[in-house]
Amino acid sequence: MSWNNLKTPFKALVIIAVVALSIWSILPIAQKIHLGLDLQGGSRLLLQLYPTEEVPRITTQVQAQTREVIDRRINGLGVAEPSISNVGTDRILVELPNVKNPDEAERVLKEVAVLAYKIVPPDVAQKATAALTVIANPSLPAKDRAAAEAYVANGAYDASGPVVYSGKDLKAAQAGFDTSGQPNVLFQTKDPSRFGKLTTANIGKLLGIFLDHRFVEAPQIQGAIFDSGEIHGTFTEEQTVTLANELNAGALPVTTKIIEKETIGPTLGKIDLVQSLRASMLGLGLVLLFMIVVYRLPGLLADAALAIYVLIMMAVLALSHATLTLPGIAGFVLSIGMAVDANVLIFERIKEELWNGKSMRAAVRVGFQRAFSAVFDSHFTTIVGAGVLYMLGTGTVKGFAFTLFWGTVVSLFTAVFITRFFVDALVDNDVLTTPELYGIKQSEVGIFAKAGT
Amino acid sequence: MLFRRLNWNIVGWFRIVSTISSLVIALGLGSMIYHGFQGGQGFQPAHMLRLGLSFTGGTDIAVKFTRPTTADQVKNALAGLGLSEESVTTAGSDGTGFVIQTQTAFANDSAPMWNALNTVAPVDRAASSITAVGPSLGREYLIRALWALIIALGIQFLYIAFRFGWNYIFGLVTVIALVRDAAMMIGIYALADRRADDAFLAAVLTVIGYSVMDTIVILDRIRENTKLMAGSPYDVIVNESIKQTMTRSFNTLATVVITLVALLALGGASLKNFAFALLVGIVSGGYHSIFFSAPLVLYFRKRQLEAAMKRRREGLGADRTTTTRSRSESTALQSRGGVPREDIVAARRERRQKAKTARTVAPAAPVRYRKKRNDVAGGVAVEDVETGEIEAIDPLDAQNAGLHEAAFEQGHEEIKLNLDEFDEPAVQRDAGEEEKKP
Repeated sequence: MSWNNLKTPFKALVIIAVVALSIWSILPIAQKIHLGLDLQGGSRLLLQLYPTEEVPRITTQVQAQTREVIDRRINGLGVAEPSISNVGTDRILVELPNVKNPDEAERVLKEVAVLAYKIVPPDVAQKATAALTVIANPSLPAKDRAAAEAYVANGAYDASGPVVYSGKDLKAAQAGFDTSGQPNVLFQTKDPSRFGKLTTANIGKLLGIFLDHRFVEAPQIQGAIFDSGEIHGTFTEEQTVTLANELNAGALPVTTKIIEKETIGPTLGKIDLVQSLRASMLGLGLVLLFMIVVYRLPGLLADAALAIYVLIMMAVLALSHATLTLPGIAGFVLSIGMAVDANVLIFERIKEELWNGKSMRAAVRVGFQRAFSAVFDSHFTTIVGAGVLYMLGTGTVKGFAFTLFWGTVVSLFTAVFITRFFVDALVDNDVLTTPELYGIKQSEVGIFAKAGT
Repeated sequence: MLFRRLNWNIVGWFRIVSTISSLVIALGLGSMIYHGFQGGQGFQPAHMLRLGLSFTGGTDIAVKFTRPTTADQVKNALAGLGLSEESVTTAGSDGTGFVIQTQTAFANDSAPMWNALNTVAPVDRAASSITAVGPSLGREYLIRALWALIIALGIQFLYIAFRFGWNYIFGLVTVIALVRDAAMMIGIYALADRRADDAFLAAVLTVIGYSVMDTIVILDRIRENTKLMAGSPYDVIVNESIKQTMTRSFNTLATVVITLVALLALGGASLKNFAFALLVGIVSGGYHSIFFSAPLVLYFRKRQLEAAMKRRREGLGADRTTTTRSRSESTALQSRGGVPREDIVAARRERRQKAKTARTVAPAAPVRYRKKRNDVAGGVAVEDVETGEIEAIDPLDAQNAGLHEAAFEQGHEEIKLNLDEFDEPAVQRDAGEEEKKP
């Protein structure tokens, strides 16, 4: 058998294989197609790492260390599928789908959790304790509370002596309750003799506990403490759990700041998902209808190819583990419009060839051939835009660029290869024989046989 | 829809078409300059187009309260935060949804914002969202966006040069159409006072690609028809080309517009913004490629001719630096109705090849022409037996097609031409006479 005899079955086999593979890879849909944060709710946080006195330069090693700490902290939060990745050499992207308490997650990321012990002068301790009660009282004027907040956040720390012991020297921390049922954090020291020496020398003085420079409490040292101690302040149970978690996870090696944030509530995401799916279904439906109305039988074939196109695109999404975002859906919908563009180019060309008096078979062959340069133009110019956008675009726009890029690549295959296979099959089997099936009247065939050429 | 059967003189509308699109662009530019003066500190280029928060840094909050309230109450609650350029708009009709935009970035710590909002009414965080970008990051994103634009334009220009390298007019026209589409989008955004965000950038890049391909398809057809209709005046060729590709242009436009309208009608707020930008750009792209680009080719061709004629006049006068070659070329170009010599040579060669193969493959089929009139100058007048149309056949073709008698009758001698070394005066004569044809 010659190649020409095998060509058609071979092409059919390729198409069937592609369709089967696509269906296999997208089932079950709910598990295989990952929805972006904007569609299922969640937080996307971009962290910038800033050098500190101890770590003057952000190297990839520092980035890796920071990532590890963040990883441990996020795990402590119990988020289902967190994703933490490096961006450049001084940024870390944290994505938390379905995070229940986004504020807590944010806090955990930037909190340095530096626990510091300082000997606090009595007047400073008094002032700081008073400030804490002011902050806790919402009925006081905002201005007073702001001043109190400033003192608690930094003033007390600056007014006290040097750091005598730090969180780095703690072995393990655990959230618990004190004898009166108040939540507290119990810790064990790494170096009992040093802590013992420190407490012995300062009996009767106030040992201030500062978390990230923030005044927590300043209990009086009643006696020597060696291997374990406790921190209590006005903590809620949740806060003690976080604090213990942070102390255990270790401090972030550098200062971090959230420079970009996107937090979407789950209900809002669901609304967006439903709306955009409805919009794409409408768009797809109208395009399918348009093709049938304008191009009749070949239009129907193009629609079949378009259905395969949608299947393949979903398979691309499933296999690449890309998440489907809102802009991604927009890119997908737009690429549907562009996928049929190729068919419009080809069918218009075939029509012209029919008008020019060619036979159906010749018109189809020449139409596909001559339209290819235009089809290639349209795909290439779109791919350029999408490719550049994918490389340089920011955050959410990347999702758009991704689906548009792959949509354009896949549509080159479906609109040219698959549609051509369908049309050829019908022409070869004498189904598509009359120009009426093409939406042009028999009397119009050959009307331009002389005019144009 | 059969646009090619319509008796439209699209190239004749060029003046109106270009005026309309120039007017829109001028209006946009005007409003950009107007915006530039807003703010009271003289002219500031940064104010010309409102940029989205991803480029300026800032916060965008969609808040849902658990009970209805008013925008004023929300504004009052936010007053203590010292926001810059804040705006509060209602979203939805039940008075619980609001959109707050400000240039103050609450990226690192959004607690003050939520706390302030909670004083108005309890916030339903599950149905609310916040997007915040730090100011330095916004600047970085803006620079990256500009780079993306430059790189994409660069690649498109390279592609245009690759496609039309031999014809600088086509390249220039494609670039002009592309720039106009981008200018239309920016202008309408300035007019509508919308924020140009990263979705706008995505739309611009998509539209640029669309515009280039749309223009290329039409210009390709002109190139094709220049060979097929080598005898016709250039404006007829251009007009035919537009009409032939018009259905295609409209249908491709329609499929994309359909999907965009669906997004605009049913999509959420962010999708609507994006669909709007794309719709403006793609409709503008379609408008320009159909009604503007192709006629612009004609315009440039005419300019080229006039310049050539001027050079020739000057050359005939004092300026002896003009070479005989360029002088003869300018005359030839003028007389050929602007069809470049290369095209005619190519068309000739193609037809000669066809005639040759026709002769060798099917010598049995005689060409059934009969002589009708002698007054079709320059060519051999023949009538197509089937259609009754009079056609002027190039003497060379007549010779090749075996119509020697017809050629001789008109006083043409058998021409022996080496087409590889194209003979200038020959073309000058026959093309010049062709132009006089009605």
